[in-house]
Amino acid sequence: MQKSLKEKYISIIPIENSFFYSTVVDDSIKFNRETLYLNFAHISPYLYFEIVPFYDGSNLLLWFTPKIDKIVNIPEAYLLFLELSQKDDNAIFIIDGDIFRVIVIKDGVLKASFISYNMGELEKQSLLDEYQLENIYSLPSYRYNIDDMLDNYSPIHYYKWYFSNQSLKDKALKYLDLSVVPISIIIAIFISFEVLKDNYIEDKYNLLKQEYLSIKKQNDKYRDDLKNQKKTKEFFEEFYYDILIYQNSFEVISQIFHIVANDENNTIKYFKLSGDSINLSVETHNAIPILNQSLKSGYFDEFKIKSSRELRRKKINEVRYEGKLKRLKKSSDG
Amino acid sequence: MDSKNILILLVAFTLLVNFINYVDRDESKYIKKIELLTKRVAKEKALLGKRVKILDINSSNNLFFDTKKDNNILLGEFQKMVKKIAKKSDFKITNISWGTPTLNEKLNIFILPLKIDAMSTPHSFAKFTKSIINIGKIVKLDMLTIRKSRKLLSYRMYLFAYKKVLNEK
Repeated sequence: MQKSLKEKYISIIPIENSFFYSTVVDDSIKFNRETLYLNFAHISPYLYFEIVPFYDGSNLLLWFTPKIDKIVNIPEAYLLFLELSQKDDNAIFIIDGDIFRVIVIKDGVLKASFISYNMGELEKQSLLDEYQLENIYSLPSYRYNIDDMLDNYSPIHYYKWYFSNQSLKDKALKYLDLSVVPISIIIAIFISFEVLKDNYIEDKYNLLKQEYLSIKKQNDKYRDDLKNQKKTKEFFEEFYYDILIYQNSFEVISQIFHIVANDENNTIKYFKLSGDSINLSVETHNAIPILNQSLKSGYFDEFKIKSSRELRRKKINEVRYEGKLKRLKKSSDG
Repeated sequence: MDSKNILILLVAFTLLVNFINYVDRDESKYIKKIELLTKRVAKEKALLGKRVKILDINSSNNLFFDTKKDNNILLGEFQKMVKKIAKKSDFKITNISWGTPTLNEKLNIFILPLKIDAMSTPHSFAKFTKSIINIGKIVKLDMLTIRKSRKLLSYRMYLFAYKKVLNEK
């Protein structure tokens, strides 16, 4: 953690500015601020004070201090305890300096921390007797620099020293209270949006449905007409193909007579149309034009000269033609 | 507002989320319906835009003889019609006889035949055939035989008219 951040949020409670008290509580007990004061305020030597608690298993360590500066307040005694318990966890430690800082560790638990202005052999023996310990160490204060000890203390444990006038539950409830209005607004916007979206979609559906029904109604008659037209077309195709079968006989006759009449010397002697078969007998000087033009007319699958004989008395030829009419075809476009 | 109210609010919010899920399912149905309707509307608009002229079906029915009338009555009318045209065309009919009406079951059409013998000039025959074409009914000419007989031509032919069978449903 950067030094500036440490300076901003962390303060060390000096031994000389605090009163330490430890007791044993049930593991399951966790005091909130009110209950902590209710149970332990009478122990405080200060009139106005804050209590900094620390749970170490079933041991409850309490520091009473007249003033708390920052949001994370770590007692100097605890940092010393962490350092010194590594050396001996059943001993009394006296840090020499302007004043004597005394740390008592018994069975690995911090039992006492205080200062003393006088620490002679008698006082030391008296402490050993009081705490029923055998070892006492006198250590120079320069070996126990606060900043170094803090650096050795992992920041992940800082939360244990977090100070707040409110319990976590109270804080959670406070934040929940604060969030009610924004949540309500979000919900209101959400609901409004959903309702508007739903209405928009429903309106669009209804409009589209109306448009569809309207346009469908316009098309229904046309669709029926188309269907009927298709039926009629199919009927006529069948009619032409199955009943009329061949090209229009009136047109065919008209066309043949027209071809024959092109030459005024031509005379029809005989004509027969039966089904697809055509027989024509013509007196003519030139048989070929009738043949060619009949073939070009498009009415015949086949048209040919069957026989030709010269009528000597009349000085003309009698030509007999024979043709086969084309069948009508069904259109392929349906 | 105390925490109890907040809890109620959260429960309400949870219910709302479930409700919205329900609405969303409903909404997706609507969206699918809208997509389907949009396609249908486009199809209908396309049909509306490319309308083609519809044949007059009733007028096509007029090409046939009256469905409701008896075949013999129709043959009589057909004969009368032919005679009238022949007279106007100076086409001299020497004999007309009725053929037997036959039914084409596939198309439900009766075929009404008239057998005609005539003596006439080619010019009169041309006038006659032209008039027959213009009577406004489908008439088929078949089995036509034309022979030269002195100055005139002799004709034998069959004319076929058609009648749709009344669909009795």
